[in-house]
Amino acid sequence: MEQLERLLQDIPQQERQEALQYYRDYFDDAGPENEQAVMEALGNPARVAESIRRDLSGGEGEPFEDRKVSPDREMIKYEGSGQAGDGKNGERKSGSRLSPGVIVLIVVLAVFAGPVLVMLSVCLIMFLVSLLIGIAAFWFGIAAMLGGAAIGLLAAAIVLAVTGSAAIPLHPMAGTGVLGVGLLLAGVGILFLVLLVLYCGVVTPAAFRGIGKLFSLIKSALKRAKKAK
Amino acid sequence: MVFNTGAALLDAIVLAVVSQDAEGTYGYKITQEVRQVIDLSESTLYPVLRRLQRDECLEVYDRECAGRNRRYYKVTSRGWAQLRLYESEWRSYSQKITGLFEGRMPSGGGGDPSPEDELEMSGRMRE
Repeated sequence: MEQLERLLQDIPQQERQEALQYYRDYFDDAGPENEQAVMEALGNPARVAESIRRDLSGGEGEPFEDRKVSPDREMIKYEGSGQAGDGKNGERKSGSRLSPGVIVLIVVLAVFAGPVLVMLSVCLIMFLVSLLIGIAAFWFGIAAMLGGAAIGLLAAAIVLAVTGSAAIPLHPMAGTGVLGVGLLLAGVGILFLVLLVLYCGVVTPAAFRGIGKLFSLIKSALKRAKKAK
Repeated sequence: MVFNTGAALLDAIVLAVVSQDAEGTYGYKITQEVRQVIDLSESTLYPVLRRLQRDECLEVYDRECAGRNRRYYKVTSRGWAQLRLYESEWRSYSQKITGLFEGRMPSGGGGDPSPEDELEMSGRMRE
C-alpha cells in the first residue's frame, strides 16, 4: 500500500485518496488470511498504479475510447424520458462540436491551401526522383571510373610490354625498362579491376542492405512511437 | 473465455452486479461477483467503478462496518437508465447471434437491423 501511495504521488490528491481507500477496503474485506492471494492477484503495485493512472490520463480513459463515446450518446437519448440528465452531458457535447464559423474557415483554408499543397507535393516528388537519379549517376560514375582506369592501364601495359620486349634485342637497357613499366602498369590495372569487382559485388549489395536496414529501423521507431502514444 | 469482454459490456456487468443490492455493495464483493461471470484481473475493476462514479451512474457512501468505514457503491437513477439500455441492447444482440448459430438468418426474423444499428453494435463490442 505504501508503495502504491508513492507511485501515485503525481495524480490529484482526491483521486489518490479514492484509490487508496478502495484498495485498503479491498484488503480489509479479503481478510488477513487472503492477503497474500490478493496481493498476487493484483500483481505488483506498479501495475495497479498504471491502471489507475491510465484511467485518469486523457480525463475520460484513453484506452477505452469506445466506452466513453457510446454511453454518452445513449445517455442523451434517455434524458428525454425524464430519467437522469443534468445538462453536464449536453455541455460536454457542444464543446466537442465545431461551430459553423470554424467549418467555413476550414473550408476556405483548404481551398487556398489546395494548390500550394499540390505544388509542394510535386516538388517533393521531383526532389526524390532527382535524388534517386543523382545516387544512380554517382554509382555509375564510380563504376565507370574504376572500369575506365582498369582498361586504360591494361591497354597501356600491353602496348609498353610489346614495344619493350620488341626493343630488347636492339637496346637491352631501355627495352627492359619499358617492359618493366608495362608490367607495373599491368599490376595497377589488375588492382583497379579487382576494385571494380569488389565495388559491384560487395560494396553495392552492402549499401542496399544498409538502406533496407535503415528503412526497417525507421519503421520500428515509428511503431514504437505510436505505441508509446 | 474466447470472447473479449468489451468496455461497454464490462460496464453493463458491473452495473448489473451493483444493482443486485438495494443498499449498495462494496469493492471486494463486486469484484468477486463479477469474477464469477467473467474472467478478469482484480486490478481492472477499480478504474471501471471510478469512471462509472464520475459518469454519475454510481454513487458512493461510507458505512461503518466492524470498526472502520467501508465504501459502498450504489446505482443512481442515471445508472439504472443506462443498465436498462444495456439490457435491451444485449438482448437484441445475443438473440441475433443465437439465431445465426441456430440457422435463422437475421433477415428472416422481425425486420432488418438498420446499418446504423450494426455500426453502433460493432463499435460497442469492439476490443
